[in-house]
Amino acid sequence: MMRRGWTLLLAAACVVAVLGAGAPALAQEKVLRVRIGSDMTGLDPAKLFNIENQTICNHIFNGLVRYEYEKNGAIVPDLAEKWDLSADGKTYTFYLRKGVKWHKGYGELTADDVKFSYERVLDPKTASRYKGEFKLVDAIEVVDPYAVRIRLKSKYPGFLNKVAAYNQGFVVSRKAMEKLGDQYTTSPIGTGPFVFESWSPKNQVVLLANKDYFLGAPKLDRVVFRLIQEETTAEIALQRGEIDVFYALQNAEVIARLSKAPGVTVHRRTANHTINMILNETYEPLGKPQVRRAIAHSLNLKGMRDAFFNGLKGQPNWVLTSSFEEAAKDLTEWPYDPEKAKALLREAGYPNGFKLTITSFTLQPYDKIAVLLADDVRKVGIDVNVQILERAAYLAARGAGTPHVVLTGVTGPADPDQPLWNLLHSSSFPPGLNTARYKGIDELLESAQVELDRNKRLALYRQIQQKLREDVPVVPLYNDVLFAASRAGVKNFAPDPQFTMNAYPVTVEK
Amino acid sequence: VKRFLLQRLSFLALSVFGAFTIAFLVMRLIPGDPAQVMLGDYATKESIARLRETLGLERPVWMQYVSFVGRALQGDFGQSLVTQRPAFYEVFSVFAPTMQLAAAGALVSMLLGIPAGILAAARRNRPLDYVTTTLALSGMSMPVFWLGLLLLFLFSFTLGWTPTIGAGAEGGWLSTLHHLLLPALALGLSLGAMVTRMTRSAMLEVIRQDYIRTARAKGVSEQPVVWKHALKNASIPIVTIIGIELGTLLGGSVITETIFAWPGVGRLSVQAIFNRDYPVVQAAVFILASTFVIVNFMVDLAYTWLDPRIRFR
Repeated sequence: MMRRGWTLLLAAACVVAVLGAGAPALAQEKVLRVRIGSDMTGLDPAKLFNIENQTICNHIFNGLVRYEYEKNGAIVPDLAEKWDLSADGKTYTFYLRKGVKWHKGYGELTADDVKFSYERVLDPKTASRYKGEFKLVDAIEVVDPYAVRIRLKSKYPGFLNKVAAYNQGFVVSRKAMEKLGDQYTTSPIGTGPFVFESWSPKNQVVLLANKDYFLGAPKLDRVVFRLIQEETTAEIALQRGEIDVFYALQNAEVIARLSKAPGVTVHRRTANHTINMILNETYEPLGKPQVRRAIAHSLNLKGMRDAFFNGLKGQPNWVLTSSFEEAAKDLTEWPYDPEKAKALLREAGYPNGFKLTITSFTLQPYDKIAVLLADDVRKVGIDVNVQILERAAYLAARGAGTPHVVLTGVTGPADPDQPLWNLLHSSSFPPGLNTARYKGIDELLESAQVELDRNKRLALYRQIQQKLREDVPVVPLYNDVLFAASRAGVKNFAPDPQFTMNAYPVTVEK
Repeated sequence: VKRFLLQRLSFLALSVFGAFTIAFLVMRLIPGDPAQVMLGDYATKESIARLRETLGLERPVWMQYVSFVGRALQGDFGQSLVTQRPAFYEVFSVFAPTMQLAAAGALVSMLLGIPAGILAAARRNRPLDYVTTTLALSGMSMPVFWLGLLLLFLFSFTLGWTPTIGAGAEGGWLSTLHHLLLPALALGLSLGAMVTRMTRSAMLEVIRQDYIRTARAKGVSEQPVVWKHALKNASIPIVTIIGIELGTLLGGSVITETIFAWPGVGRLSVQAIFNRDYPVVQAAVFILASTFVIVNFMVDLAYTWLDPRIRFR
């Protein structure tokens, strides 16, 4: 009797398996299914971080201007049809498109929404992580419902980057924000080509096409961001057609396999950020330039890029990657030369080395490369210890400014101010990322920021990079490269150098 | 019997309370400030202080505890610090897939483990026994992530029989079952190996008993002796291990959830711990501890059915 029961159950299980094996019926609607590697957490532009959140927001929100990544990344109109700059270079007036509708019936976009959005970023109560981006903003005025004027404290030619469709540049709806409050972050209202539909935690985020989008309705009906952490799983899912786009592909082996897989296109795009090793000058041995130089010479970075990253990451320049106009591409990294490193250490008065801790966090590849770097530094006689913290403890340590060495990159648009100011201007700590506590380029950065003449600007940024190469407050390790893959039938898909993507131009065929 | 039940029930309440008191304290003792995590690298001391105040983290720990217990008793675990949604809802929304996976995993382990263990015991020290025990040993030592990827590669990629990812968001129960197959297998195989070994040793113990010899002496054929008389008496350790492991499956299948992109409480709570999302961790501990305790309560009830002597102890 008992045995018959088991047999029946097994038989039932087999039947289910066979029945279920048929492909699920596909609806007629056009869906783009995108793999994301970690879950959405919140979509309030003032607090936006993580490439997944930024990617989702790319579809929901607009800025006053945007980067035309489908072409060459130039700044083009977005919500603002056009803008003009006063003769003294300090006042921008943006003229908004008319008839732009907020999602879900929140009315029409007006200049007041723009004022509200950007003042909200500046308001300390918001606790925006991008308050510093608007540090030069003096006042924001509504001229009429379709014109907004932004006065700056000083002239600043890079200002359009701050109101571009990215992070704090995204415009939110005053009416929706006042109504939804804290809920806005998980039910955002924007003007973009897709409308936020739902989020099931640890599973997926669904966006629906905005038929009223001001540039025309998207060609897709919906975009589903599906959370798949394991890259091997996503690889199989892509090849089986369970997902259409494999976004934020990192694993070198998976990239190699997918590059050879039939019906799969692997997309490669140089990012706007370098991953850097930050050397804290307030730790005594690191206060000496010879010691910092010695560390730079001790690292076999080419070996790491070739062997560990399989040649998938680029050779860095000094913080600015090759995608920046301002990058000084001839200023290369210091060569791998352990003997030179040892000589420099002797010269600095540390013939027997010193104790050094490299602090990193539990995220691929930053946990692994910390160990590789430590190995190299150890070989020149420095007593290195590696400390891998999980995120909360890591942030606390970095906020305190105590770690000797950390690994950091600053993602964002190709605006040189973004990485350089945030990493290396003395005002960027505390709070901020300048845990190198470097002060050497403050004046140069300040002059470059307000220099209107292009050639003079380029010369200033060149000087900055030269000085970084001499002073070595940071050692650039590699130029990050973004990989993504798509299956055949997905057209017009391209990742952008901000590490995000945009489904608006994409079409899918089965 | 009533006293037995009451006793178990009060233990139940006490265990849940204990579990979340510990969770409350541990979360506050580990380094890392939720306000800092939420605001990130660029946060000023003032904005962190302001957020800590909003979150009620500035008050002494005992006050936080009192207000926490007060609200928890009304079923209010507060809002997730990360998503601003009710913490209880946050956990509960991934609880159904977790239960499905755990139950399916346990089912697979029983379907494989019990018959295999009985066969091994019945053919003790014969080739079938050696094969089964060796398989069980390798099943127990196989890391889940490796097994999971292997299954994916074989059934999903090469044969194309099963889907690769996650719970069937759309589609009926059939699609859910279909999606469940591989993760349940991955989870069930290692537990099944444990059940096999447990069944085998329990059966061997029982088969040596006098009443089995009596049954055989009476001329009862071998099958009813093994499957009816012996199995029921050997079930207590088997039920115990399945009960305990079911608890582990509920919260501890993080790796399986990750490989098969299966939404689950395991992954949610690990993420919540990293984010110092206290309300979510507490809600997860509460829900998991309650389920664990209920499962154990059911195991206790099963004992009384399997062995009536327990009722009168």
